[in-house]
Amino acid sequence: MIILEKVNVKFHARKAPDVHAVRDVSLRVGPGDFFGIVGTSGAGKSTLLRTINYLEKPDSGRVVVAGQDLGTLAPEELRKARLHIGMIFQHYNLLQSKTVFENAAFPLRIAGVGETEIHRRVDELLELVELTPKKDAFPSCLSGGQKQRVGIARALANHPRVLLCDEPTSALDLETSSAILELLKTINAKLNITVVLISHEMQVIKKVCTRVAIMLDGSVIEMGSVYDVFAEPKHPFTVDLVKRTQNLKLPDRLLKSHKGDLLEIHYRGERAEAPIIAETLRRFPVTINILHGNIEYIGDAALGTLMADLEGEPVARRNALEYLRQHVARLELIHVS
Amino acid sequence: MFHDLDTAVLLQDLLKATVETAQMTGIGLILSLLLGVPLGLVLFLTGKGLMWENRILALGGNILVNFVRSLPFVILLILVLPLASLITGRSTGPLAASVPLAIAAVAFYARLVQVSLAEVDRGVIEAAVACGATHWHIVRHVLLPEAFPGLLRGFTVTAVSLIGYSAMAGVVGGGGIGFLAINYGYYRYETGVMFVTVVALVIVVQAIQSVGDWVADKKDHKIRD
Repeated sequence: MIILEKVNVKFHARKAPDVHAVRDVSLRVGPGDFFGIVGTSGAGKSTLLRTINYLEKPDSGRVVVAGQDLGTLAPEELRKARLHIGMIFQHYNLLQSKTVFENAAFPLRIAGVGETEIHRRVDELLELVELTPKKDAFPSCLSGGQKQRVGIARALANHPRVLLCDEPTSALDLETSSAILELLKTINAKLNITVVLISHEMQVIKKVCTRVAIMLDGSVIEMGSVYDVFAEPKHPFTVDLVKRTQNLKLPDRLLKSHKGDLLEIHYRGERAEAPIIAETLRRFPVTINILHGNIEYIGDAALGTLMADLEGEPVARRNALEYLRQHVARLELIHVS
Repeated sequence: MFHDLDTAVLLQDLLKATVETAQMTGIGLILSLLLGVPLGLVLFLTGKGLMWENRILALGGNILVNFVRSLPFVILLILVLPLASLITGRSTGPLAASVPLAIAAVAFYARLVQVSLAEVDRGVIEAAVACGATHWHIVRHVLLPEAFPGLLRGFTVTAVSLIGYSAMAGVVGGGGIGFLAINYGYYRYETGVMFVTVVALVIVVQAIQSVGDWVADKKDHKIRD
């Protein structure tokens, strides 16, 4: 649905060195994907997103959306292509002088849709984003979440095949953010719209995305299914990002006072649900003291992490470790007694 | 109060003067809408990072507007006198005076239009571009409605300034309330007349400002944070 090939964006500033915002980015987003792009602020993810509807014209590279190479289109054709690429923004960017209805009707009006059809479609859209009662309200009277819902209604007005989301929940509180993400997920699944979402929060990506690209200094450093990236992050930056999201940090007091070997155990999939610890204890004369842990579900698949203190005679300990290593996805010895 | 002046004559003069003032400012205001808004749009849209970004046009527009606005109005009045008589076929009267008034008003209002447009959130313009809007859509559905309260407030300011300028138009025999005040009240020491005309001007200006503010506030749905 979306193909980026070696996309580069540079910003030229007078009296300052050029900023290379996007470097040689190539990626493919399949139809129906919920694709996330994550990175710190200034990583170029927003610029990259804006190349997908050519709000930002790349200096080199190809951008193909729904079979159309945007770089080859004449201005008028590009404008028409944009009718079918929806976009929502961190700060909503609604027309403040117009009501909720008129904001959602805006893309229809510029597409030359007739008045009766506009009314029918906008009612349908407001129903979808659950904002029907606010039809005649002005954006100044809406909460942040409601404003983003108007933004979503506007973005979907012309039945786009692609929806671009530029930090859509970054200005919202946690609960509202979850509700908006749920809505986006529903839209992705039910309307079969390909979604590209950028965020600086791994949590957001984890909640909704199926695939993710991680950006650092303008380059994509890692890409894959959200589950794989979480389970086995490769680049040190990603490892760090995932660790921070899981928030598995032991207090210093525990790090100093533990008696045996300190283990970090990672489970994947069905194994996360199997009683491996209990089995180890049954087979070997060791004790395992669990210090920290969690099991996350990404989509349907489980991903578990445990931090445990393993105690016992050296031989028993070694055997237990060997058994564990065979039965879990990854085992890290953080500290050997 | 009015010494040896006939009240009926005075009222007649006042009425005539009011009509002349209305004529001069009316023409000036209509032209400032017809020409000032497009000129303001051009000034804004040819600016940096905007749809019609064009340094030469932006610079030319700015120099033109600044030139007109830097001239003292009395000088402008005399400078365009030949032009006024060419356009209107006469060199005195409210019609002739409305030419320099319109020029001053267009330049003044164009600048205020530009300032109002610059207040429109760039994100909203970008959202419109992302929706596939043409330049005309953006002007018609985004820039003008979003800037409307500011445009109206600027228009009110322009109207009030024009009434002030119209008094100076008396120099070319433009007539009007201001001219009446100077002629009767100042040159002929009819303090009473001056007083009446000043009160009339104060009421007109207050009315224009109040109506302008009222409508602008009513139409203003801007999020203030």
